[in-house]
Amino acid sequence: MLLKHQSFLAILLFLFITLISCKNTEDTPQPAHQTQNLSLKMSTVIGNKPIDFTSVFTTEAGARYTLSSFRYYVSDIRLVKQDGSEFPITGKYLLINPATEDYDLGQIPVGDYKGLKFAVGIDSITNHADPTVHPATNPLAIQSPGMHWSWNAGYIFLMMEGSCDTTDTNTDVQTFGQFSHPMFYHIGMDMLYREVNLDNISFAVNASDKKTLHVQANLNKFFTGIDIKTENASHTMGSMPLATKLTNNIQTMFSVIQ
Amino acid sequence: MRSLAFSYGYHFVAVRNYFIYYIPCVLLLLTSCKKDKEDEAIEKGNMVITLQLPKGFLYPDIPPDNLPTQNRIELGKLLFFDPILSRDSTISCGTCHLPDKLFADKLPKSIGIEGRIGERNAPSLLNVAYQPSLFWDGGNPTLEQQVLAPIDNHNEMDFDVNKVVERLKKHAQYPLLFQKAYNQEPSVYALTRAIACFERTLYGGSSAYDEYSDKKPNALTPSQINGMNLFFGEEGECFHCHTGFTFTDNSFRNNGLYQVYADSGRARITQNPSDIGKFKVPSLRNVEKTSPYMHDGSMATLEEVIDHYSKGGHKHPNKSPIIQPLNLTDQQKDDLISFLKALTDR
Ligand code: HEC
Ligand code: HEC
Repeated sequence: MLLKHQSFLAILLFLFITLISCKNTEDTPQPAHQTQNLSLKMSTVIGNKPIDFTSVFTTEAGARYTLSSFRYYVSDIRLVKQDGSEFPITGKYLLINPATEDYDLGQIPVGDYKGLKFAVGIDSITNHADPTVHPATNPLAIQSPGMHWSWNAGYIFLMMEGSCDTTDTNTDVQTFGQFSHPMFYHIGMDMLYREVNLDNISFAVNASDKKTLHVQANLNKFFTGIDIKTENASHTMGSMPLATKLTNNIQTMFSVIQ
Repeated sequence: MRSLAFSYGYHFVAVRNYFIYYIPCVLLLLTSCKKDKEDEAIEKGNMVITLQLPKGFLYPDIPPDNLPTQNRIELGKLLFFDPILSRDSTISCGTCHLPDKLFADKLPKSIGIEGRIGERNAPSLLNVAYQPSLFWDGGNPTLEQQVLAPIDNHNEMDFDVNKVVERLKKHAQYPLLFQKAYNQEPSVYALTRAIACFERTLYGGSSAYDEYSDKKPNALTPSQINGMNLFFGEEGECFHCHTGFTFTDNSFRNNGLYQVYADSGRARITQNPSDIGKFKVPSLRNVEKTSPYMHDGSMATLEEVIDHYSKGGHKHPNKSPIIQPLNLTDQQKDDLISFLKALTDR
C-alpha cells in the first residue's frame, strides 16, 4: 500500500514537474535544479580486454573464438531511487553496438539512485508490431545486417556472430581471420525477454553536471557453461535449450562501473 | 535520362508558381483549380479504387494506410516482377509466383538465387488477401511485412531490404513512381506497401463450382456433384478444414502426412510440441493446376492426395481426429477428384 502510494505521489510530482517545465520554457529558462541529462555508456569486454573484431579470444573453459558482430537491444530502462521508487525511461529502445558507447537517455530527476533495471529484448507488443513503419534512423527499423526475423515476425534481441575452433587441441588455423567453423547466436522470442537488475549500486544525479552511467558487459559470462566446440549455433527456434542457457547468461553479464 | 524526361513537369510547376506571385487573387483561385494534365493524371492515379472481386467474395480487410490506388498497384506490380530485389538481380517475386502458373511455381520446393533449393512448396498467391497469416506455419502476420521475408531469405533473394531501397533511390524511374504512389522517396515502408497492394488485386473465383453456386445447376457434371457431396458431407469431411469461399478455415492442422515430420510446421513458431506437423490448411481453388502438393511438395498428383485421405494418413499424436480412414471406392475417388477440378478458374 505504502509503496503504491509513494509511486503514485512520485508520478504526480513528475507530471507536475513536467507541466511546470513545459510552461516555463516559454517565458523563463528551465529551472536547472529539477532534471539533468543522463547517458548510458555501454562497453563490452572479454575478461579485461575490450571487445574487438580481429583478436582471438578464449572462453573461460579454454576454447578459442573470434567475433564479427555483437549487437543487442536494451529497453524498458528504469532507474531505482533511494526510496525504492522507479523512474522509467519510456519509449527508449537502444540498439547496443560496440562501435557506439554512449546512448542518450534524456532528462531524469536530480537525486540519489541505488539501482538500474533494463530488459535485453523488446516487449511483446513492440516485438510483433510492424518494423517497416519506423524511419530508418530508429533502432526499431529494419537494420543492416538485420535484427528482425521475417519468417517468424519479431526482433532478434541479441546477435553474436563469429567463428570458433572446434578442434579438441585448439589447433584450428584461421583463414582471413576466421576459424573454420562459424559461430552464431541469434537470440529472440517473447519467452526469452529478460530483465537485468543491477542493484547494490549508488549514484547521484546532480543539477550541475551531465551524468554518465557506465554499464559493462563481460562476454566471459555470456559463455558460462557453454561448450562452444559443440554449442556454437542457435537461431533460438529449433535450439531452445541453448538459447535459454545463453539468455540466462545474458542476465548475469552486466555490471555498473562506478 | 531522368531529368530530360521530367523537365516538362518541373517547367509547368515553375510557370504556375510565377502566376501565383503576379496575378490577382481571383485569377489565382481560378488557375489553381485548373490543373495541368500531369497533375490530373496523378490525382486520378491516387484515387482510392474499389477492388474487383469474384462474385460472392467478401471485401478483404485492407490496412487503412495502404488503400488501393492505381499508382500503388502499378508500382507494386513493377516491383513484384523486378529482380532488382535480389542480391544478384536475378530473382523476382515472379520467379516463384508465376502468373501463368497461378502465382505458384509447379516445383516441389522453390528454387531461388544461385539455384538454391528452399524448404517448402510455394503456394499460389490468388486470394492471398484473405489470409490472416502468411506462410505454411503462419509465421508472418501481414502481406506488408511478408515482403521482407523473401528478400532476406538465404535461399530466395539473399539480400538486404535497405540495400534494395538504395538501389531504388538511384533508379531512373522508381523515385517518381514512389513519389506519386506514396508521396515519399523509395523506403522500406513504401516498398512493402506497394507489393502488398498489388497482391491484394489477385483473385481466383471463376470456376465451374462458382457458376454452379450462382444457380447454374448444369455447370457441374454428375460425377462432380457426387464429389461435391462427399466433400461437404460427413462421409468425406473435407469441409471441416477446407471451408468457405477460399476453401480454407486458415487454421493449423496436422493431416497425418508423416509419422515423423522433418519440418515441424506451426511448432517452429509456437515452440509448442502439440503444434508439431501442423500446417495452415491450404486453399483448394485451382488445386488441379498447382501440383505438387502439401507443404513440402511431396505429393505429385491429386490421386496421391485422395489416396492419402482414403487411408487416413499416418499415426501422429497431433493428427486431427477428423482425419480417419475413409476407405473410398474407386468411383468415390474419381468423383472427389472431378470435384476438385471443378474449382479451376475458367
Ligand atoms: C525462391 C522462390 C520465392 C521467391 C523469390 C518469392 N517467394 Fe513467396 N513464397 C515462396 C515459398 C516457398 C513460400 C512458402 C514459404 C513458407 O510457407 O514457409 C512463399 C510464400 C509466400 C507468401 C505466403 C502465401 C501464403 O498463402 O501463406 C506470400 C504472400 C509470398 N510468398 C509473396 C512473395 C513476394 C511478395 C515475393 C517477392 C518479394 C516472393 N514471395 C518471393 C517462394 C518464393
Ligand atoms: C483436419 C483438417 C483437414 C481435413 C479434414 C482435410 N484436409 Fe486437406 N489439408 C489439410 C492440411 C493441414 C493440408 C496441408 C498439410 C501439409 O502440407 O502438411 C491439406 C492439404 C490438402 C491438399 C493439398 C493442397 C495443396 O495445395 O498442397 C489437398 C488437395 C487436400 N488437402 C484435399 C482434401 C480433401 C479432398 C479432403 C477430404 C477428403 C481433405 N483435404 C480433408 C487439412 C485438412
